[in-house]
Amino acid sequence: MAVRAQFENSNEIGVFSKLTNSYCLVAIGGSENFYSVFESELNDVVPVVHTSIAGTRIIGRLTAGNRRGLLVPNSTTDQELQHLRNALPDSVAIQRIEERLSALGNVIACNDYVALVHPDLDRETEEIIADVLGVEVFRQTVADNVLVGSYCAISNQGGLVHPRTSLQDQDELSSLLQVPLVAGTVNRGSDVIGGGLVVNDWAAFAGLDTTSTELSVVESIFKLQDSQPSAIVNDMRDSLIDNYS
Amino acid sequence: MSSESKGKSAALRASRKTFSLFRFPADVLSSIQLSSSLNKLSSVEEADDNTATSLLGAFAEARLSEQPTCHTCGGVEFDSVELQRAHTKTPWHRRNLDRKMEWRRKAPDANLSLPSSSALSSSYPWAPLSGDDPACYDEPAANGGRGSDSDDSASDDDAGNGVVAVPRRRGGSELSAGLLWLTSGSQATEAYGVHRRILVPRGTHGIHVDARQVLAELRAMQATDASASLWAFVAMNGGYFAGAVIDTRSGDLVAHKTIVRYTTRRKQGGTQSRQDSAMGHAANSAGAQIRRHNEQRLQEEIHQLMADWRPLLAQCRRVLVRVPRTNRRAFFGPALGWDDPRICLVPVPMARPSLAELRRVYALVTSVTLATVKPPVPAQPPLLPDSAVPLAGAGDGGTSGSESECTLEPEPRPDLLAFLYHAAKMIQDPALSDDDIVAYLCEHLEQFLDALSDPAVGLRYLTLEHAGGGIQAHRTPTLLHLASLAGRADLVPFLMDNGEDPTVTNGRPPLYAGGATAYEVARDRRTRDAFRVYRAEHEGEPDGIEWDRARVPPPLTREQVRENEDRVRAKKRRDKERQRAKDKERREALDRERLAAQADDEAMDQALAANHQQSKLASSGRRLPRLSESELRARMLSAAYASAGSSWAAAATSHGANVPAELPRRPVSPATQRAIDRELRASAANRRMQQPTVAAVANTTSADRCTHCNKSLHGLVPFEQFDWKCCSLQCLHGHHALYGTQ
Repeated sequence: MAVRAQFENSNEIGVFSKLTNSYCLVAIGGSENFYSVFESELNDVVPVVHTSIAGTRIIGRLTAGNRRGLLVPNSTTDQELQHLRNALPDSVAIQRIEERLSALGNVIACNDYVALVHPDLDRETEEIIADVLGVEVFRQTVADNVLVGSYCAISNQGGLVHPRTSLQDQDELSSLLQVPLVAGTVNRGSDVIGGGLVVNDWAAFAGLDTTSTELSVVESIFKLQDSQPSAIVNDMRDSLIDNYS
Repeated sequence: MSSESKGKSAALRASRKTFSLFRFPADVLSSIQLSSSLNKLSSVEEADDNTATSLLGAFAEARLSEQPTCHTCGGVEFDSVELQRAHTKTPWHRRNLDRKMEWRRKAPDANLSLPSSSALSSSYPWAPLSGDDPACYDEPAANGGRGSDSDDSASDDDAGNGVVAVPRRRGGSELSAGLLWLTSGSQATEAYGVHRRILVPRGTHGIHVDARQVLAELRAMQATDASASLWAFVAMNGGYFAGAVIDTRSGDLVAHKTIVRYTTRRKQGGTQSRQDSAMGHAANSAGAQIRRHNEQRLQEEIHQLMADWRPLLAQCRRVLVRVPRTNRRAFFGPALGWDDPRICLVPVPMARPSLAELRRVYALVTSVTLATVKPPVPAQPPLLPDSAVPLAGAGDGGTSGSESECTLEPEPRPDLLAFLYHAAKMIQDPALSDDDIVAYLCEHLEQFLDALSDPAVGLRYLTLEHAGGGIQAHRTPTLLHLASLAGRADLVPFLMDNGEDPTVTNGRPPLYAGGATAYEVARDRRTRDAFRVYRAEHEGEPDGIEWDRARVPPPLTREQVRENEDRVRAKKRRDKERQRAKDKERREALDRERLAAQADDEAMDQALAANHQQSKLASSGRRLPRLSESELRARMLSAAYASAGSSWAAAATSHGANVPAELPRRPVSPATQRAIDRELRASAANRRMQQPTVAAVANTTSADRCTHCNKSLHGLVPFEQFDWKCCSLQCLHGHHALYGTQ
């Protein structure tokens, strides 16, 4: 299911939360409403951990992770690290990374098998990503933006990329990732996909402004319900043309 | 999908073998030609603006791509995902990615203004539209991509003698950056890369390459006579200068010179003059002065050297230069102009100028790069996926099969060009009237219309043998521009009647952007009015001229023009009258002054004569006090004015109004009269002050003293005879006894 949520009147919930197949991180100090949206969807399956990173609440942009591990920037305090170790399952490896591009969530986009990273990332960081997250790492851009983590959201089922990504690039990325991709927006036309959407294999959370069309696209490409891509073309064609032409 | 199924026109593989530009094998040279496919023509793709369509297409495409590709590296295709993934780890891919990032950093806004994703991809130089960018093929064939089919294709030689548009690339790998590829015959498997700047004249900006000219140039370089075998290299950077003249037959140095001077600011960079101009004022430190001095000396030395080398430079076939952008026009001094067609810029990166560096550059520039060609297979129509809805076709189809849409720069007809050139010369000739030119054009109307309707014919296509006649094609790309610039107001409507487009702007190739329209280059008001009148008469015609784009102001009717002209003429007349009146007044004033001066002179003469008489009298015994010259003059003027004033007043009362013109004297105002009197009194007082000392020396008598005994007459009634005054009768008698006989 794809659900809408809002963090302190901000639609960029991808900034304040991180969702993977084995855990969910949410920023501390939010309203109960925000937490209850996540907890009602996830609570009986994966832990929802309230935390800060380096004393800030922008945890979604500072961290990167998948079901096997979590990468946090060097500025994370020992206390926060200990808290995360206590709260996350033992199977999740946590690693602090020394990297100039410290907003790891912005420069790394990954699912459980593949990670797309910023072309300027350190060689060492690349190796750590491969080891800790157990993924194959590709230096890539999305619609010629180097911040791959900001401009796309991917799961093991599919991916949503920046609306200006050319078809060739989509083809290339989808063959690298081996998942279908689609170019689209969230939050009523925002192209910062990673900021407005967190997704794993069975749940997605988008900003409160996200339109129903956008939400249907998300559900469809991430296979969150029964609808298949072809169904969208057939069922929603009129509304799409209304919306985009 | 197998790699053979999609067409690639050609592929190049680098080889280390090179040979000298001046030693082309004769058999190769006999059939050499410019390869159009290797020199990569620009291709056209229609932009697809409909977002909904492309989005729907994207949904239909929301499947795994069947053909793994890498677009960063020019659209290389792979047999399997494993190969694609392996490819992304290679240094080759890394380097291409870096290149792409660098380009993106340089043009960060390029992607923001574009309407849709497919249009976006087509505008990028690395966009893989036909995918055969030679820059990307310096990779060993290990990527498992590209078919190895080696069918022949005739597309190589379709540029045979025409003008080929060669797009310039930013960056590019070192293999092909700035190279022109030549092949020998259509069956060739080898291509020869020669630096473009060496073969193509500088004025054409390397965009439009005339194949015939290039080949002629190449053949000329094979000549072995001594006269045509010298090349000069000149480089200057940061206070280092190196120059050499090299004999290309043997590679020997004919002359060389290096100069080093301290001109750049250590650890800061940049020459002192640049720093000065950046700061806005000249730095005043000792170091700055030294550097400034050295810069000047260096320039002088270079000019001296160039003057010494003048005969050598005159023989040189090419002058390759790498000099700072500032002041490069004056770099050679009088020995060589910057516009000299033999000058070309060094086409390869260069280190600090030195003789060794010049040798290295010489070797690099004059070597021919050999590459192996994979002749292309004919392109197949793009395969549309069966499941795709028809709407999706637009997004998918444009990416390949653009082979046939290559744009060839059209070749102008030489006779039309010659005609156009002649017409241009006529317009520029001040001896011919507008009617003569119109008559000539009417006579050759058919040819003229042909020239106008042919897109390839324009003044900007004038070749080198035509150019040099004062026609600057970038300033005047059309006859209309030329006529407007020459102020031929009557020719302008004729040209526009016959289809000259006033919206064409001048400017530098390749874009011809940001220039001025014909209206804007007009010489005078009359020409500008001609445009506006034409607009008034032809505005609103169906498929007429877009006047706003021609930047012609609101229309004028002929009546308005006439009114304007009348107004101008009336104003001119008024101005002239006013000027005449002013002249007359000035002349009269001059006359009056002259007459006054004359009167003064006369009065002076009279006074002087009187003075002369008086002094004669004085010398005859009357001891008049000597007057100073200035006092004398003032006194006489005063007397003259006083008499003039009284006589004028008398005349005025007796003769009426016409008298003043006859009076030689000017009237003296009471204020002036007072001033003159004051001066008189002051000089008299001055004289009295000096009196006692003078009296002590000379025995001059005062009017207040007895003439005989010199006793003061104060309080006495003097005894007077002649001008004698005596205190007593005795004195008078005594004086008479002494002087009375005279």
